[in-house]
Amino acid sequence: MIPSKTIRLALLCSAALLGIPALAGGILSGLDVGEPTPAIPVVDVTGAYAGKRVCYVCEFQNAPNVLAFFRDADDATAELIVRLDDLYRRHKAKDFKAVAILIAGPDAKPWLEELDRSYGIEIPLVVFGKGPQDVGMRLYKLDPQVRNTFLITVNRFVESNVADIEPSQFDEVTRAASDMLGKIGDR
Amino acid sequence: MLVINALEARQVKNEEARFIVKRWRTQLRSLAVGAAMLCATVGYAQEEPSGSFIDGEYVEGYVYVPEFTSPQELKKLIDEKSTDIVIVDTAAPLIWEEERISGAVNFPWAPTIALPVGLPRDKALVIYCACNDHEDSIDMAEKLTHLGYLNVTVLEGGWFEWLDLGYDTEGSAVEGVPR
Repeated sequence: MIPSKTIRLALLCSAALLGIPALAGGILSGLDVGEPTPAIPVVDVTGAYAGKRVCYVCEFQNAPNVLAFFRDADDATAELIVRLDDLYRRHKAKDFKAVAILIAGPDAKPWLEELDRSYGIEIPLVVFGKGPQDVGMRLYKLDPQVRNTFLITVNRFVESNVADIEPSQFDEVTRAASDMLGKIGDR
Repeated sequence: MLVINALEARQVKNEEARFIVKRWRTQLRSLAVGAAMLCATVGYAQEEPSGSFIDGEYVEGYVYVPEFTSPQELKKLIDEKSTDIVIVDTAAPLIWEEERISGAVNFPWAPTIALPVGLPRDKALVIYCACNDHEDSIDMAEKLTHLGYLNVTVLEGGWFEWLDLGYDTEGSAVEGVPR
């Protein structure tokens, strides 16, 4: 049965609307640029509060930082965390902060501890207390299909959003963080 | 004759020297006055206001110092069913819906408070957050104080300590869970 003209028009409009964000390079996952970053409780695995519930967003307050969310405990995530840690080390003198949050939840704890031991990671490695069902997923608008989401933030607002990247594309995060730090330096 | 000429020459030199010294003195005095004026101006420009606006009025020398309520005190007030307090949770609505201190209202932390504020002014507000060092609750308490809420305290230890103490919570995540 051929749909009526009105239905066809509606379908066409819906398809066009859905296509707009993709064409404009819209946000794949995570809070949009300009949105405030709410407090988000996580379970600390390797940071200063290891074993405790903690809120790094609150602790960072207005400091420039990267909130990095990872879906999988795999090699690509490990490489991205190592690169993020390197970025942190290069800019920590400027009060720059970073945290890596494993969406997988407490099951990823041994993997994170091993990563910390192997690479001597300085940034806190944490997990969502309830894994992919954690309220943090909805609060931070994280798409469970997306492998990683990097929110580059300052003064509790998102400055840039970089999502679903390969380790070879980490330069996008580096560039966004450098731009943010440059802007702060200019103020 | 030679002696007279020599004396005249010395007198001229002395007068020239005196004139140069006098000119230097005048220039130095001007410089000193200029420097003093510059310092005063710079000092004035760098002077930051030492007060703050509290409920629309400027209060000179105001510095916000948070006051705290201990979890034990709050528990006692809840157990006594006190109607003089309002417990304020600064978490995002999604988190508040999931779990909160029993009876807490939601007033999410935001960089700026949207007006009008829907919290009562005739009650003692006890504010808490799920933070490491009360960051969001202190910030919120300070902002509310600036809006004229003068009976505001911060829950010591916040949400995490409340949970550690095993005190009552409510919300969708704890419904049907015996405590």
